[in-house]
Amino acid sequence: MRKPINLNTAILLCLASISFVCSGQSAVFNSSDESGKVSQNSTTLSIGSHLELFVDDYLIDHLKGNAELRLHNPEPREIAITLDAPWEGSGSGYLSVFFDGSRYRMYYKAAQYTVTPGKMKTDDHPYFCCYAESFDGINWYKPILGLYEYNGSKANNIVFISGMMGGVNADGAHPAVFRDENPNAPADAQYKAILRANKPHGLFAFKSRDGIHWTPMSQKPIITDGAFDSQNLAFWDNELGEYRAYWRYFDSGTKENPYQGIRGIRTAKSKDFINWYDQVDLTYVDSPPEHLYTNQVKPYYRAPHILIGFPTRYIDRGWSESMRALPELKNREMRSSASPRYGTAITEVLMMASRDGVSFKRWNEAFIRPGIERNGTWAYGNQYVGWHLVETKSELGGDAPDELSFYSLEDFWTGTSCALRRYTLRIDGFVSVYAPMSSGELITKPFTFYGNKLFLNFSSSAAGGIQVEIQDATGKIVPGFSLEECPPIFGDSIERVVSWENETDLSSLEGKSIRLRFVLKDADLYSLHFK
Amino acid sequence: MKNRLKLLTIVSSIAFFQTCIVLAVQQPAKDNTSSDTSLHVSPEAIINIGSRRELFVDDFLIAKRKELELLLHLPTQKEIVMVFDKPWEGSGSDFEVVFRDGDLFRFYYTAAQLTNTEGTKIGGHPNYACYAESKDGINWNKPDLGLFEFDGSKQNNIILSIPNFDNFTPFKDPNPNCKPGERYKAVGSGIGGLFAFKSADGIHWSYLSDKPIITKGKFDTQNNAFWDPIRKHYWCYIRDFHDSNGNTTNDTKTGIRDIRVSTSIDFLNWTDPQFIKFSDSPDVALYTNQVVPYYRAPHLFLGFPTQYVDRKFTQAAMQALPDPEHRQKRMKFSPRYGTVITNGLFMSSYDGFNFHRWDEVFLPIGPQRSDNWVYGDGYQSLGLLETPAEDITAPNELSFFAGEGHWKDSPKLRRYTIRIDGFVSLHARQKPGEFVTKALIFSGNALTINFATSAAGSIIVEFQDENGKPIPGFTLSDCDELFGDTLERIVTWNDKSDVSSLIGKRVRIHMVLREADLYSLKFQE
Repeated sequence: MRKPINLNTAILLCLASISFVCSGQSAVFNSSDESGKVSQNSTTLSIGSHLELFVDDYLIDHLKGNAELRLHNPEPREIAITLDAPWEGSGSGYLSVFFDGSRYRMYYKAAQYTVTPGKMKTDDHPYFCCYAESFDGINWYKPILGLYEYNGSKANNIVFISGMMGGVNADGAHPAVFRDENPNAPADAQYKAILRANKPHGLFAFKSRDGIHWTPMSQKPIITDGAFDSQNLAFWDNELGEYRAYWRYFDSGTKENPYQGIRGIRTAKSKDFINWYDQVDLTYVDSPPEHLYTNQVKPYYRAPHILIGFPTRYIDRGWSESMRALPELKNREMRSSASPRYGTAITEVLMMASRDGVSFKRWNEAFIRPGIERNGTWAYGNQYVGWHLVETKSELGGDAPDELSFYSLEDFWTGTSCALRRYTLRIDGFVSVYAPMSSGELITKPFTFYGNKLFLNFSSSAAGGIQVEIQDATGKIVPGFSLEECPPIFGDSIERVVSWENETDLSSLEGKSIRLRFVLKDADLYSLHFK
Repeated sequence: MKNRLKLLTIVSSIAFFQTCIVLAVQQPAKDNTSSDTSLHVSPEAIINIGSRRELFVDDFLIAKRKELELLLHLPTQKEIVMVFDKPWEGSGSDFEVVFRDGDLFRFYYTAAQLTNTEGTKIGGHPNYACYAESKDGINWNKPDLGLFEFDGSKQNNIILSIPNFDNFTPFKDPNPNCKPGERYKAVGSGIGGLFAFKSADGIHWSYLSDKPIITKGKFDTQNNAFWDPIRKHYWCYIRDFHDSNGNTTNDTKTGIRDIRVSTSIDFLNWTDPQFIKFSDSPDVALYTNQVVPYYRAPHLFLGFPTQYVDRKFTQAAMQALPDPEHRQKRMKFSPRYGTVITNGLFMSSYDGFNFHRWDEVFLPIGPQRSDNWVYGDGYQSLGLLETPAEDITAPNELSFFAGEGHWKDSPKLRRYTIRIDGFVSLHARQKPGEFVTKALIFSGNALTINFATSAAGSIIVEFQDENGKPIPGFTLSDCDELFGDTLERIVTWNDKSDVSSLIGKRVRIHMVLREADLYSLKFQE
């Protein structure tokens, strides 16, 4: 029997047999311009002494030779914590993770989803928001908080319930919790949380002095226009000097039925966390329409002028030979009997970055794929990464530089628990400018900086390396800073100073409009930083 | 397109080519006037892949590819599995050899002393061949063998102690004609050349011959021999030097470290060793070679050589690398002890003589720490072990090992893992990419692939006739798209996997990939 071709196959076949429509980032970035001419109409950027990443084309004028931008995928590590308490379970997730100076804190939805023929049972116990903490981000424990009763006892780690809390009826199962970086945040509101609510429909704001004890900030929802049926979040944006919120919005949603169309993300700003304005849907530089489940946007802590998001890509692939070959078919079939997409949708993590909070460069390839097929992967609900990344010690030990840790969900739908697997990535290591041994170049747009030294986060092979040249805005070499005067930089360092004939002092160029030219050989450049 | 397979005059390799190349045919000019812009290929030799596994480590099987890159995958760093902290070991311990022997994993290495942690002295005890074993390839123990005395005691894991001897490199010999007392063989360098050893149990060793078996070469790093079950002869890869013109040189100061290869039917008489050739790689110094027939596709040799680079860097560069003080101290013994840096490379060959080598690093040194970015980093152990993944529902992985902390007391050995067949993939980003193979003949009833996609990615597969025309029933639009991440998935067209109607016919395989990696394919009997 001929099966209907699903949309993805149809698009693929179409692309394959006619011509390849260029929709990837390569068209935007991968100029193989052999003339080496730089654009003459670029306005001079001011990067100050910001750390700059290559997660978008902000700083890039063009790439030459065999240079390309490479998205790097975090490496799977151990299961960091299992959400297996009787009040947690297989429907858990939506985690918030941050380091607040003293400890790593984690908040997450706790729910049990029991798959039965024709029905998804979600009421084995009420939905909660639970809490775990850690002193290293690697070893986690669940403290006994004594706040809410479950099954006759307060010996648990529940921080929010679903129901009345401080006069507000909110849903503890869609939480987003953060440490408020606003320097003017009052002592009793150092931690804030966003919870969704059904009646009335909207998002409620909560505050806390210690991250454990919470009270509502308002008796009315702070945001009401949205679907909210995912993790909705907000944070202080220090560059903007205001709060930003990001929440679930369907592109064809109406007030009567907000759940129609493609799952997307809407944002707004606020000065006081209560009143929100400039509500707008996110736009993307060069990405196709795709369902985005969570958004996981936050300022990158080392470059807070850049917002980085790790949205979940949601795709319903329907039934096929491949779908049947994926792990845990019986459970997949059974949950499909409750709702087809419960079995046939698959989720994974993308990466996106923005300078203005609205227009995002979204990388079109997965940041964290479901990975090698094993139990607890390749299902709707798995490979949702927590909000947001944290810095942790390297497993290499000794004096190895710290890494970034992410926590990603596994084992959704099955058994009575979910697992959070830790993933690690090099610091600033989202995207690199990479060139093979055959060499490639990056030429930046003209910019001004503050500082007197240039530092690179880079890695090379033993035989590879990077050389840097400083040019004026028109592309002319600044005397003393030519490529020939820059001995190849090789090694693997988060912070290596660049020198020209042993000279590292750039104070003579401070405030002037310059371009940087990088020549790379089997090397990755992750970030640059004038200090 | 240049055919990588070159008919060689080596008698012993003819048998292989008989199985491989059926015949080279001149094909009629193909009609390409249609609007189909799919990949257009030229005629070339027909490859008979039978039901053997083919890896996409290079373009061996590929006639044309578009928007697909060959992507080299780097191994994952795992735990430290061993510390060389015994008094008979030392800061130059290296040349690890691993292989599976029934339920046992065997591990051999050379214990040697370079500088000490203080950088005040070099050398010490002679080199010893040492031994460790494991039940899982991950947890190792060094047995007390009681064979050789060190410092008045035989309580150690020394397996061989011979004056002026280095780089003991054993293997288990699967040659059906192998004598029982020679089931384990080894090579190692001594005065006058490369010597052969035998053992009945892998523990007790004696000379196979009192004369060196190969004398042309320098042998001053790990040399490596093994039995080739397909070509029915032994291979030996050895260290030598060539000058800047590619000629043999005895000058180890100006010469470039290189690899020669020799073959033998009886392990005693060897052909004149030839430098191995590289298709399109620059002339760089190579240290160890670590060539092995890949156990899942033994017609394919994989090599894991060490690249040796003398960076002759400035003071500023030295200060930027780890522990410049120790680097300077050991440079007093020889400048290159400080200025040389090494890391691991990857190469592959279908004939044992001509290699495709990646110019980019395969085993990088990694983040700078106090004891790395030195001469000695990234030496990959000889041999790949299949070991269980941490998640019991995940497939096995390949493990191998590399040392760290050379030049200082108690260097460590770290385990690395990589996906099975996962050295190189044909990689497509979101924009679809595609390839067409050379014309080939296969046997088997179903096609399986080792592949990975993202949740949104896919692979679709088509069979074409040798002229590039899609075969009805096996076209792209008939194919059930594949997504997932598995070592073995059967390809189906309209729910059916049976390809037996195409057995023995000249076909091309056409695949379209999106957000996907293809590692290998195999026809199942």
